[in-house]
Amino acid sequence: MRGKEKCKALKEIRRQIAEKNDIPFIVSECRHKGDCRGTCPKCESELRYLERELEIRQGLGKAVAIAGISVGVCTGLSACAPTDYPSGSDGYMSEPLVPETTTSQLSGAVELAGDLPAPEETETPDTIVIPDEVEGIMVEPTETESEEEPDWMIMGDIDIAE
Amino acid sequence: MCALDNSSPTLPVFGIDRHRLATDGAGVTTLVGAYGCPLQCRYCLNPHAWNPETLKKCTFMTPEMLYEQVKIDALYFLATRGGITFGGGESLLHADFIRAFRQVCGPDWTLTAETSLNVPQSSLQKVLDVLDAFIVDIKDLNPSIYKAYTGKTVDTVVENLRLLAESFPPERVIVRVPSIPGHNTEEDISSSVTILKDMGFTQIDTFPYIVRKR
Repeated sequence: MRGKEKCKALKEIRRQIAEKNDIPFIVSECRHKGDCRGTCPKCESELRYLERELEIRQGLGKAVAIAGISVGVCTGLSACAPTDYPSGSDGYMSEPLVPETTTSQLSGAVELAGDLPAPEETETPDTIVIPDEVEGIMVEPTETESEEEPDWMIMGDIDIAE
Repeated sequence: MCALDNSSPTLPVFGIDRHRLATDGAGVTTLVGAYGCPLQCRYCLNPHAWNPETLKKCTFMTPEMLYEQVKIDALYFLATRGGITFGGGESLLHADFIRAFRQVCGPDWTLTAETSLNVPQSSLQKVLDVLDAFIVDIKDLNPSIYKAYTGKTVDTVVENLRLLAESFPPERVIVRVPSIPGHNTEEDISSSVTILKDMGFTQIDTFPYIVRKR
């Protein structure tokens, strides 16, 4: 999964975390240009915001609910995709899938497991950057430069560090 | 990168890829690519994982260093039952590291290994109680096909599959059986699937290898 589809799925995960914990969360459209790794400043700042809010709630002795969000629900993946667990009827994670022998729906299509692209195209392992803290609930959508991305992702495929 | 603690195992990391959604295991995962593989398969997705030149570019990480890198997505991991998937290369060549990483990251993240299982059985035994899931690419269980495609014998793989079937919940193991262009047929694939079912595996994924132009 790449691009806006991934961005929307991550946003939906964040929205559900917020909803389950009564955290004010404004869903706004990401204006990031080009493909998405889910690491643009806006997406990262939203995640950090949720972390802070959850810490505050824990500090106040409130219960926080984090677990139980199904990626399948967020991405629209079929419940029989063999590398994911199906969603339960309530939209939360159910028991792991025990399918009959299947033909992978992921491997030949958009997203394939294990794939990490070639050395020259990659970012180094130490380039994960936590963006500056953003005050307030939400930042305005930011426009960022396009990033080059491979067309598809395969299980286990990983870029090499420069 | 920095001074290493000699008492701690290190992982030669050639790449880290965040935010993989249901691609390398359940939930949101971060794929950690480690250098080294006993096989040199023709259609390997990541041939740089066994190219000696790659080793010069690797970052040698202790479990603590890797944890510092990947904890940025802890909330995603906890929310979706995701976590870290160790790939490569052959992840189980680094069994000591994976064991040590579990101690550092705690019990809540899902740790998955992508593996061919062509590793010493002692390596597999080391990680059985610290991993939550396995994704096993068995190539083909026909000895001659396996040898022709990987250059190695399949015996170790079969022994490790037996150990895994006996000692790990089958619903937590995805066994992938590829269609390998020029190497196996539908009949060969069916034969491998039958053997795997007889062993007790329930999640068996047949799929075609993607042949990339390099």
